[in-house]
Amino acid sequence: MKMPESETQTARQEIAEVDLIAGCRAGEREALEVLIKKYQPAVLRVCVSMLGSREVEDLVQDVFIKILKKIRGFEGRSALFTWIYGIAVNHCRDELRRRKRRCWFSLQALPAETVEQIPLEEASASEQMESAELRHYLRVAMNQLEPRYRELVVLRDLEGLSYEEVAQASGIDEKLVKSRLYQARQILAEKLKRYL
Amino acid sequence: MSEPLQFQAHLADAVLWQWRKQELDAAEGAVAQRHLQSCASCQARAQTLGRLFEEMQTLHQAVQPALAERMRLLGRLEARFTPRANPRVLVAASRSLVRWLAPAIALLAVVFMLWREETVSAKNSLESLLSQTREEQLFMSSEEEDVQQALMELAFSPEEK
Repeated sequence: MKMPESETQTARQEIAEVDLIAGCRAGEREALEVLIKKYQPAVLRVCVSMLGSREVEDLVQDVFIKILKKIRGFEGRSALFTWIYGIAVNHCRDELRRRKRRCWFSLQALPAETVEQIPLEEASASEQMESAELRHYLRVAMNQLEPRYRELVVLRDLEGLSYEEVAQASGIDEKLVKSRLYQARQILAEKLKRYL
Repeated sequence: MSEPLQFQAHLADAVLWQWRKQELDAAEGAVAQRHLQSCASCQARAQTLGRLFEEMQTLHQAVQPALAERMRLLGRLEARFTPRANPRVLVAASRSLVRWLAPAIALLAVVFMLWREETVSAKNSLESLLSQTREEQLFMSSEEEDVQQALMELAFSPEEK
């Protein structure tokens, strides 16, 4: 019996994913290469957007170490990519908490997100927006969002996950994801009011 | 006749956002659509929101790992998770091997020496026994000529040596 094209493709992807997971569990170089090629860009993007800084190489490496440590326990209750997003988001949350603590104890060490938190009012008053300036404001506005809101905007609006996948990755109930994301978008739009 | 309330009030930014992403259900979407057709202000905001949203996505997608970053990550993961012949393991293995192998070889050497000694002494005692018999020359001969000579001697010599 011939399977429909889409089903065949899905089955092939599942097999490939099963092989990838098995290879990663065995520590095979080829599997590690595929894992990195497939997921490093997404993990990097999430880390950069969550931490508000490009200096996240160590953080990304730590996320992958966590992934490989935990992959033995991966039961496939969610898609592999959702599971990976979940680990990345959790690691970023921990890092933000660590940075906040460090900042609390040492006034010298300001976290990257604080460094970039320039009040929007103090920035250039020019009404004529250039793309670079707009991007700067967008970055600042994102960094000013509370991490619990920021992670949802990143996962849903920037990474394009469905509400269900966002709920799985963030470990939050889907209804709460919806209401929190509504608030997040409202706050973000408020911060960018001058362009609206 | 006044319009229904939802047509009079402006749409919230988050609702415009949802509308752009087609997240509203059919009824909500229809209401938003009708409002946008009649409200220039919301239309303009929806357009700007769309532009901001696109810029945000472009900015986000522009973040890509450099090749060097990828290689460093692979190196770190390989060093940690790829099983390979670890020199420390080899050293430990060779140490335990030496611990067992050296006495075993010594023991084998002793056994060999003892066996060799026994063989030599057995040969010696056989030779001494042979020297007491008339067949000594026959047994000690290796050449055919010597064997024939020994046989002749055995045949024609007196009975006792």
